[in-house]
Amino acid sequence: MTDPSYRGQILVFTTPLIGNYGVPINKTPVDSKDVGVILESERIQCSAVIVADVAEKFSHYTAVESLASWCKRFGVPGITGVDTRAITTLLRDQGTTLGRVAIGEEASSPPPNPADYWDPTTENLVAQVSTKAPFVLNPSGDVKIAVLDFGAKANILRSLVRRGASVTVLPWNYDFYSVRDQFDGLFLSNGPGDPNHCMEAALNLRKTLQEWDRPVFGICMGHQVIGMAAGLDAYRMTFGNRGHNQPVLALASSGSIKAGRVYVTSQNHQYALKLQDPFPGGWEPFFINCNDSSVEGIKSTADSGKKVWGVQFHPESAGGPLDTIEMFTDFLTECRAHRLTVGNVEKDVRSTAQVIPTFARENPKRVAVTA
Amino acid sequence: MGLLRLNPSWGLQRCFQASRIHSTARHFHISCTRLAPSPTKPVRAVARSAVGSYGHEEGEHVLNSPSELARKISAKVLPKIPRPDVNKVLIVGSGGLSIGQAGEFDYSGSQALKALREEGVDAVLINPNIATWQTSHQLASEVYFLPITPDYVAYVLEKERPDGILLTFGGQSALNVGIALDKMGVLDRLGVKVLGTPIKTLEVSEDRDLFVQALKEIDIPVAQSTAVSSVNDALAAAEKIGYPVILRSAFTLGGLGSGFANDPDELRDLSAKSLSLSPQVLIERSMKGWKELEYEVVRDAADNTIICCNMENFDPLGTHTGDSIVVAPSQTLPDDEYHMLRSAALKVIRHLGVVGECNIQYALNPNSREYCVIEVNARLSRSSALASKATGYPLAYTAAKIALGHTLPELPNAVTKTTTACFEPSLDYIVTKIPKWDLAKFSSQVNREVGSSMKSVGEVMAIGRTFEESLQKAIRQVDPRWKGFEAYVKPEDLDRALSKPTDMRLFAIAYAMFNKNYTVDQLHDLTKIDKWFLYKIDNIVQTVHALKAAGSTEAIGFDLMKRAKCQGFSDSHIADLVSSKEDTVRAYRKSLSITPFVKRIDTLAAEFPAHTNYLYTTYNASSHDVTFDEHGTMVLGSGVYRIGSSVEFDWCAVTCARKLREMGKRTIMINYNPETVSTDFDEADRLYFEELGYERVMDIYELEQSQGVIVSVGGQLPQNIALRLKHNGVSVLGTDPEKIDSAEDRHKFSSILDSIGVDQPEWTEVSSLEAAKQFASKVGYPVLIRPSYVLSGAAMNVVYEEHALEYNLSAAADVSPLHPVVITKFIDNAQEIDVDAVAHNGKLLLHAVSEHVENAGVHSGDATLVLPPFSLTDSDMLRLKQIAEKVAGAFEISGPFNMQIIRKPADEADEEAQLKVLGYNFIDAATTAIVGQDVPEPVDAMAEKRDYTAIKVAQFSWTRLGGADPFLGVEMASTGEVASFGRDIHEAYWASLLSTTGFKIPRPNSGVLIGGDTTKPEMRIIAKTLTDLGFKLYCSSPVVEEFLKGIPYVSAKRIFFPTRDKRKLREVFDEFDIECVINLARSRGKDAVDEDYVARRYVFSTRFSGVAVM
Repeated sequence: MTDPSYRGQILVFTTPLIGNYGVPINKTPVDSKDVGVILESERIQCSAVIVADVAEKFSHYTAVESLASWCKRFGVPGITGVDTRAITTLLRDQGTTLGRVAIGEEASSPPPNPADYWDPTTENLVAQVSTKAPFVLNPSGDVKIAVLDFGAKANILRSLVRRGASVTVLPWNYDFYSVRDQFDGLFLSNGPGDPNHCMEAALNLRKTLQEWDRPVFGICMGHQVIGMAAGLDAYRMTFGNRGHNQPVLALASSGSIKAGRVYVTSQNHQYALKLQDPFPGGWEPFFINCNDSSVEGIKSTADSGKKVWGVQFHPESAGGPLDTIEMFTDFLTECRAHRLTVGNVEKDVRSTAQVIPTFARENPKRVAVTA
Repeated sequence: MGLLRLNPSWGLQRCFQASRIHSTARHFHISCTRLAPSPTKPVRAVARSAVGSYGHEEGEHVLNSPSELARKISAKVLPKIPRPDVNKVLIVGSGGLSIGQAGEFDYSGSQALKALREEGVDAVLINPNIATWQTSHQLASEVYFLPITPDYVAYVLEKERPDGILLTFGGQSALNVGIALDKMGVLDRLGVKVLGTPIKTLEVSEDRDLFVQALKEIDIPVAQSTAVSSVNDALAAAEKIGYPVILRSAFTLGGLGSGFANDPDELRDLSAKSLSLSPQVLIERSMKGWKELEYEVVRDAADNTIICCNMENFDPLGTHTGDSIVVAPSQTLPDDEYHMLRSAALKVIRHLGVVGECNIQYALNPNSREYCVIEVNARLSRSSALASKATGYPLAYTAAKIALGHTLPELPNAVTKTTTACFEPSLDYIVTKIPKWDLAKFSSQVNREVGSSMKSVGEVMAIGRTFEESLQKAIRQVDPRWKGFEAYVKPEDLDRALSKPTDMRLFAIAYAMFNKNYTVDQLHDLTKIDKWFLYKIDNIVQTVHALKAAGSTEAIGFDLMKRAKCQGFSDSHIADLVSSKEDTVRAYRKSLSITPFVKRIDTLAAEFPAHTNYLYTTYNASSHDVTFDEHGTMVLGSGVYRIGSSVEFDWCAVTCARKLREMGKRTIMINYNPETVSTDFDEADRLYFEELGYERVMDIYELEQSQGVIVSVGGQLPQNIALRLKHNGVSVLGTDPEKIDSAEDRHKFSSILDSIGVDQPEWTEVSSLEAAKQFASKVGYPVLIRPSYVLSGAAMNVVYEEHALEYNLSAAADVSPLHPVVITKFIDNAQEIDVDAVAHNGKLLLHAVSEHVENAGVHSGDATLVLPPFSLTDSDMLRLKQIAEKVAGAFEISGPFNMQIIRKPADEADEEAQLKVLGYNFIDAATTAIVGQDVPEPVDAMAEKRDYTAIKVAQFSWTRLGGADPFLGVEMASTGEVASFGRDIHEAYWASLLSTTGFKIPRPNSGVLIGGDTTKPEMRIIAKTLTDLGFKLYCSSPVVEEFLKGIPYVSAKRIFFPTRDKRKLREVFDEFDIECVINLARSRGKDAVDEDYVARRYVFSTRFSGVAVM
């Protein structure tokens, strides 16, 4: 619910019992372990939640309030006692759908005019959730990573910080090209909506990749941006991949990833890269989805002289399985190795101001549905 | 001859099976498909396979995916794991059903057999359990009804020379045998490959020291334990760890001999007991009150590893998982905790090198992220059966495929067929499992506390979309007398009943909430059950109050009715709360348009289109997942396994459903027992994992507009609602329920017997104690007392004198106040004979006669049965057939029935079933008779002379039932059975006896303790024979000593026999080298210090098993 990728959406939970363990205090220190929040951002990002059976009373040692009270604090409506399986079936067949939440008499009154629905896909949601100004986490880290923020989940930043990286979070359309040499590696985050809104970032990246050979890693939206920079097309899938049980097949070995192995991954995407044959020069598919063969990852080929990986799924999970979490370690290992080979000893010339992290604070607007 | 009782279904349909006997080999195994078709019917293909077909070529390694492109790409990268080159594989079964090892292994073995057959591998099975589906000849090409011991398994290996062996489908018994065979070098010598998880891994998971060490290597916290082999070492270890400690014994079934100790005294007793069962025990830190969780893990040889399902125990750590209420998926773990344990599970299972399926159990501190691994079972288990049914993921089948070298990505998802098996199921429902204990069946001495050693005999699983719904469904499934969450017990010491778990703790919670106004916080403090569960239960309590407040049916508004049904209240429960009738509530509810909806179980929460036939009903919905246009025939299963109704009815239900399908009919199976084959979703066209009560059966009948309902293959449970179904317009197939009712009603039954000239012992029906006494003194003692509706002899007793009659009638009258008590003259020293038969429209089609070894008075479920009979003359046999014909005609039976007949030394009287032995599949014939289609011509299966004998002996679980008196009477006490074949009764009996779990042969010249009733004629023969064999006889009572000394050439020594101090008792047994106890008791022990009781009980509390005969 706090993942900025769900910005503007109505969330329907397939799991019927929701709210069992309540909501914890969403606040941590900002240090070499934590990034200020426990959840994925400071506030609820989705527009509404639909559940089958909400727990009015919760039970967990970290919990301080119920799901309902938390939603109320953020002004996010929720509805319980709903046949979520029936809605899931509908969404499965027609994909993400515009919708509304109605109760009581309103529910039986005729639905509004289709034109009266707000369609979040028409907006650049990334621009809404991305940080407005650069900021630094764990400045004492031994390896300097820049994160292009398309709506980064806190756990991505946490996963980098906990592995000893100094992380500089930049706005999604930041001109990284001009500051590239201050960093040992570039990370492109997840984010909401249509990747075509991020063409600007993709073009920036293409320019960077032509002249810069340090490691680049992208997740979800970041993966799509890498793909577009490589010259692949992104398209809207009929059935998006969502949930914590998506099997992907590794087609190439790299770091902790073994070719021919199937990994169970956490996913949330409606858009994907086209699997084209042949792939653009210097690139190869990294993962495919076992069920619909959609591209789940791409990487630069061994002979391209580059170290670029993108994955459509979420190795950082939260929630979901940790099968591919070591990809973060792999990325930082490459960054450190690169730093050693080039003898990167220049002083920290970063001009970015140290500011408090801001995770997509603004209120979302109206509504669209996703499963 | 005379008839005592008639069951219009197979009351205890103990099916011997042998389709064909090998003429060349020794006569104790059956074979069919390989050599010749079975004589009774063509070999049929296995039912529709659990998963999709393997379209690709032999040896190709391709991802199972709907996408052509993905398949093409995957062929380049999937590892080429060599598939073992095997043509013939031995599967080791689990033997007789006992506590801790029950019907779940029939399910797992059957799935493995299906997988082998699909691969074209010849499957050989060794399992002496005749009641199982896996021993049906449809599945294995060779079945050996032999004991699961290293010697016998080695014999089969020598004879069959298979290339491979599967050890993980037969529970702990199979695993132990496998490890033993490996140590003996048999597997190496014969070149038999262990398929799936390697022996080394099995050893590590079983040996606590190795296990702890293995987990330490990968930094996974594990319950700290010290292995000890003496009581003193145990005490020393506990001093170091600090009390309370848990004591765990290695290499035992279901935690047998394990327990908690709060102080040195408790530990001393416990460790003495455990060390007698196992050479080594472990002392560990106790984590009582922690959450207990379990993950089911599947790993293939290419190291792909997935979690199929996780489960959370309602009862905190301290109660064995088998005895806990369990929910799946876990409900109180946030994502990070869930995945912390998931990641640890993957790490552990990879490190151990499991290839196939296993489970890992955790303890999790409820107040931190601290956790530790409790244990890993590197084999299929009861939990894996539960996980399989809870998710729809066929774990045993997949494990067998993996053992044969397939990898998960290559295997198809059983449900979607098109996608891969390498995924993790997501559940959009919740399942609740409740164990069935049946402790009330035993004498009052039995200890009802549940702890770290398992005591339950079965379990139920209920599916719902709220916890309240699934919990209340499950409660009704455990016992049809329970209507939902109500205070069915009123414990005197409530706080103790809450803090010390017993089989009735859930109802103690109900009592505390309904009658004593305990709050959730108070309950949590006493029980340590997570508050989330208690809050949900409180929702049920609030609804009960609201319904009571409404006061009448009409006063229940739409909202309240909807709320109650969404929380799983039954119509009859609601009726009780508003003082109305079930039919009234049902009609009113339907007038409010509140009816259940049917949902699918598809493993992926509807995120992919999947057309499964695995269904459940819920009120928490607004649309159906299926359409109702098949109008199938409904087969009602047997429900929970309990004493008196077990895996044999599963065999009946599966056979019946398959036969119906073969006859071209659509089938609808209803059952709720996760340990069964009938709940495999490929056994019927539609499977409703649902309750078998009137309300739900009626709902499904109406929704499906079914053609008819078969009630006679599921035992007593479906039979109980047959009449009511008929009165409400349901087409009940087979014998008319009115006729069934007249067989259950003693008056009607008796007058029908009189009218057809079949004798019966004198009997009467009384509603007062005075009348009972009068009758008993008129006909003379002993008399048999029982209620008119019988479920495996509940509350039945033989009484020999008036004060026993008084005592027992007060107990029996409590059981069924609506039904008066029936008293029958009991014929002492008479022989009992079982006749099982099938009739169509009153005409006898098939019958089988089997003879009891024990005299009448031992429940036929507990008795040793011989087939064909060894002492009956041709005229006796003819007379029996005539009785069967008359009975079939009088009750117009269409379908199976069973009679028990009592034969006095010269004459006979009475009735209750048998079948696989004769090579005629009785249920096939019965199914045709029930639906009246393709009915075969009558055959006299008994006329043919046979050169073999089959003997069934019962499997008991006394060791687990602390305090229960090992005494056999008219109440059934066995938990399972085994059967073996032989050329004569001696060979067959010996093989059968060795097949029972826990049986040990006393060494030559060791001591035998003799006791009990010296008036028994057998006593003399036994004493003489044992003396001749060189055993030394001992006794404890002067009466027995006197008696034994009176027998020529027999000498016996009377020994001091302590009845209170178990340690002293043990010393006595050791001193005289006593390895066998023979105690011919006439009735149960009067109290806990009764010498005979102590002697019988001691046998099962310690290291050896003796023979406790009635």
